[in-house]
Amino acid sequence: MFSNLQISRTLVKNPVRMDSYKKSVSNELMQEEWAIIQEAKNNPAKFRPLYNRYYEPIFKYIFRRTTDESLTAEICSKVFLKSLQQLNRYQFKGVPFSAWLYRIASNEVAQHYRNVQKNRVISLEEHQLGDLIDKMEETDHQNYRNALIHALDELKETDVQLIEMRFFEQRPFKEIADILNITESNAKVKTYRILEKLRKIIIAKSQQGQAR
Amino acid sequence: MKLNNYNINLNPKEPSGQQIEKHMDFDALLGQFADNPPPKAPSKVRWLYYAGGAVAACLIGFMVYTTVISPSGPEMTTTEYLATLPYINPPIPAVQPTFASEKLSATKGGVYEYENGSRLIVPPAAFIDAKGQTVQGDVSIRYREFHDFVDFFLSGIPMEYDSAGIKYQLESAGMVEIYAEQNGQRLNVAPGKKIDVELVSEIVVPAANRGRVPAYNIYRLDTERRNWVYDGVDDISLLEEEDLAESTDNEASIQRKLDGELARIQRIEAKELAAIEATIPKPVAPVRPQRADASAPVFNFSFSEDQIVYSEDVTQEERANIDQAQAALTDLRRQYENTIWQIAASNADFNRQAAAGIDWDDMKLRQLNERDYELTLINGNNEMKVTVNPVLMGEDYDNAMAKFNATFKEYERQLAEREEQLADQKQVLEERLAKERAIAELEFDQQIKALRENGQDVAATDAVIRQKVLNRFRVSNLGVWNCDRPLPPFMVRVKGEFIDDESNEYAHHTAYLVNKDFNTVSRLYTGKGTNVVYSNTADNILWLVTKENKLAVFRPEEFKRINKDKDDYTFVLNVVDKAIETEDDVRRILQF
Repeated sequence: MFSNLQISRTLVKNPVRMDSYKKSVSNELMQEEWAIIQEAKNNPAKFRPLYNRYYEPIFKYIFRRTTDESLTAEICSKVFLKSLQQLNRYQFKGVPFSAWLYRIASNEVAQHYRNVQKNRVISLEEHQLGDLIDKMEETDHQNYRNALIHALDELKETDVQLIEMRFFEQRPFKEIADILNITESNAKVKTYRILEKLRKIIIAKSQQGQAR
Repeated sequence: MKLNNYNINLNPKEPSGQQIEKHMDFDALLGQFADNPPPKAPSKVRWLYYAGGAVAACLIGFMVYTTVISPSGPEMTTTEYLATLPYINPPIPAVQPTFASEKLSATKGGVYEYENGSRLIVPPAAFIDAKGQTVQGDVSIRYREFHDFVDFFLSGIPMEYDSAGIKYQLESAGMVEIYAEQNGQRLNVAPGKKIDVELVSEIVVPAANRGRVPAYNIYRLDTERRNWVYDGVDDISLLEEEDLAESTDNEASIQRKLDGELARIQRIEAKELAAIEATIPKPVAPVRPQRADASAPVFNFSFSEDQIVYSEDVTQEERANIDQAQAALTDLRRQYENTIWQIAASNADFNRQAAAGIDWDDMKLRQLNERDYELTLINGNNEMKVTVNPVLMGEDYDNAMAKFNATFKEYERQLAEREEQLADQKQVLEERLAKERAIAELEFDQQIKALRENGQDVAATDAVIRQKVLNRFRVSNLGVWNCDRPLPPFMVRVKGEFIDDESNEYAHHTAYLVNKDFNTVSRLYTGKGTNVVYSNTADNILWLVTKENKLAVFRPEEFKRINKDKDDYTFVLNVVDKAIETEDDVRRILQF
C-alpha cells in the first residue's frame, strides 16, 4: 500500500514541467487570451493567434490517442471548429484557454472511438512505464511491466485519461485539473485512487494465475 | 499491443512540428465556420447575451482606462503596454531607413540589384493586382534593408517573437522590406510565384568562431497576427572580405586568413557534394491525396475530350506543341479520373453564385504548386479565375491513400538506397575536407602562439567580430522578411525605475535595450517595477526617446555598476542635448 510519503513523491514528479506550465500560462497570458477570445466572439478571424498557438499541442494530444496522422488532422480540425462554434459560450474562469481546448479534444477523441467502435490507443514511452513502476514501489520491472500494461486495460476511460496525462504526458496536476474541470486536490486524490486500483488489479491477476 | 479495451502503443514516433504545420489551415477553418455557424440562441437568451456584452464592454472600457490612461492605476507589463501601440511603431517617424526604388518589367521579370550587392530575382508575371489580375508592364520595386540595432530601432519593427505563448527575442542576420507598386497601387505576388532574395549582410560572431556560420531561420512579419511567422531555413554563406585584410600580421588578420581558408573549403564542399548528389537523381516524393471537405464548394469536371483534332494548316512546330499539350491532358485524365476540384480556402472573395449562374464554354487548368491549381472558366470574352485543389471522396480517397502509402514507402526505400549508394563518396569527401580544415586550424594555432610568444597578448577568443554573409531565401509575399533566430533569455533581472539626471521620471515610455553580442534590440515598458533582463557578460546599452525627440541613454559602464544582488534599480539616464534629425545623429549617440 502507499504511504502518504510515497504519494507526495508522486505528486512532485517532474518539477521542470510544472514550472513550464506555470510560466506558459501566466496571468498575463490568460488575460491576453481572454481579450483575444472576446474579440473573436464578434470576429472569428481574430481567433487566428489562438489557433496558431495551440494547433500543435492539441495535434500532439490527439496523435498520442490515435497514432494516425491524417485521422489526427481530421479530429484536430473538428476541435477547432467546435471551439469556434462554442466560443460565445466560453467564459473566463481563471483557467488557461488551452484547458478548454484539451477538453474538447478529449471529447472528440472519445466520440471518434464510439463511432468507429474500435479500441482507443494509449501511447507511452518505455521509460515512463518504468517511472510508473517506480512510483508503485516495485523492483521487478520486467514482470511488473507486463502486469501493469494488462492492468491498464482494465481501467475505465476516465481513469486511463488521468494516468496518461500525469505519467505518460507528464502534465502537472494543476493542468490536469484545469483540463478535467476539477480541483487540483481532487486530481491528486483521483490519481492516488487509480494507482491503488491498478495495484489491486495486478495482485488479483497474480493470485488468479497462481490458483491455476 | 492489442488488448481487450485499449491498443498500447509503446514509444510512438510523434510527427515533427513541420509535419504538423502542414495540416494547419486557419482560412479553411474560417470557411468551415462560415458554413457551419453556431446555432442561434432563442431571442430571450440572446437579449441576455447582449446585456452581458454591454456589461463586459463597460468593464473592458474601465480596465483600459485604469491600466493605460489613469496614472494612479496598476502598472502594466511590457507585453500589455506594447499591445496598446501600433505593431510597427517608428519611434522617430521623420528618421527611418529609406526605400530604394527601381522599375522592372512585370511581364518579363528581371533582377533588381541594391547598392551593397543584394539582389532580388523576380520571375516573369510575378505580380497580381488587388483584383487578382496578372500585372503587365513596368512596376516599381521598393526595397530597404535593416542591418543593425539602429536600423531596427528606427524602423519600429518589433523583434519579439511569440511561439506558442513563449516570448523570444529574435537576433537578426539582416532584414528586408519589399513592396511592388503600379500606378500608386500596392501589388501582391502571384500565387505559385516566388521572388528570390540574396541579401548581403553582416553577422556578429565570437572571434573564436570565425569561418563558421551559425544557423538562422527565415521569418515573415505578419502585421495582422502581430507576430513573426516561421518560413524555413536561411541558406546562409560567408562572403570573402579581401579588402579588410591588414598588411601586418596580428591576431585579427591571422583569423581572417583562417576564415578565408575555411570559407574556401566550405565552397569546395558544397560544390563537390552537389556533384556527388547529381550522380544519382533524387526520387520524387509522391503527393499526398487530399480528402474532400464536405463543407467546401467544389467543381466537378472530367477530361473527356482528350483527343485533339489537328486542322490542316498546323505546322510541324505547332504540332509538336499540341502533342505536348495532348500528353499533358492525357496525364491529367489518368491522374485525376475521380477527382473533384475543391475551391481553395485562399479564394476568400470567390463569388459562388456568379460562377454557378453562367454556362461556361471552356476552361483552363494550370498547376501553381503541389496542391494549388489555377482554374480559368471561360465564357466568350468573360473569364473567371479561381484557385482549386484536387480532392477525393470516400472510397476514392481511401484507395488513393493506400496507393500513396505504398508509393511513399517505395519513395523512402529509394531515398535510403540512394543515400547508401552516395554515403561512401560523401565520407571520402568529408574525411578529405576535415583534414584540410585541421591543417588550416593547426596553422592558425601555431601563428597565434608565435604572436603571443612575441608579446602580442590579444584575447581573441573573448572578442566578437562582424562577418559579411549572403542570405538566400524565397519570398511568396511582399512585406518584411527577417533572417534571424530566437535568442535564449538573458540571466540578470532587475525591477527598474527610469529617471534622468535631473530627476525627471519616465514612467510611460518605450525603452530600448541592446546587448553588443547580439544583433537585435529589445523593447520594454518604463512603468514602475518593469523587469529589465540583460546579460552581465556583455556590454549593454539602454535608451528611450524623450518628448523633445532627444535620446536619454544608460551606457555600458553604468550597467556594470548595477548591484546584481538587489532586486530593484533606478536607471539614471543621460539626456543627450540634441534633437534627433538624422540617422547619423542616432548612430553617434548610441555608438558603443
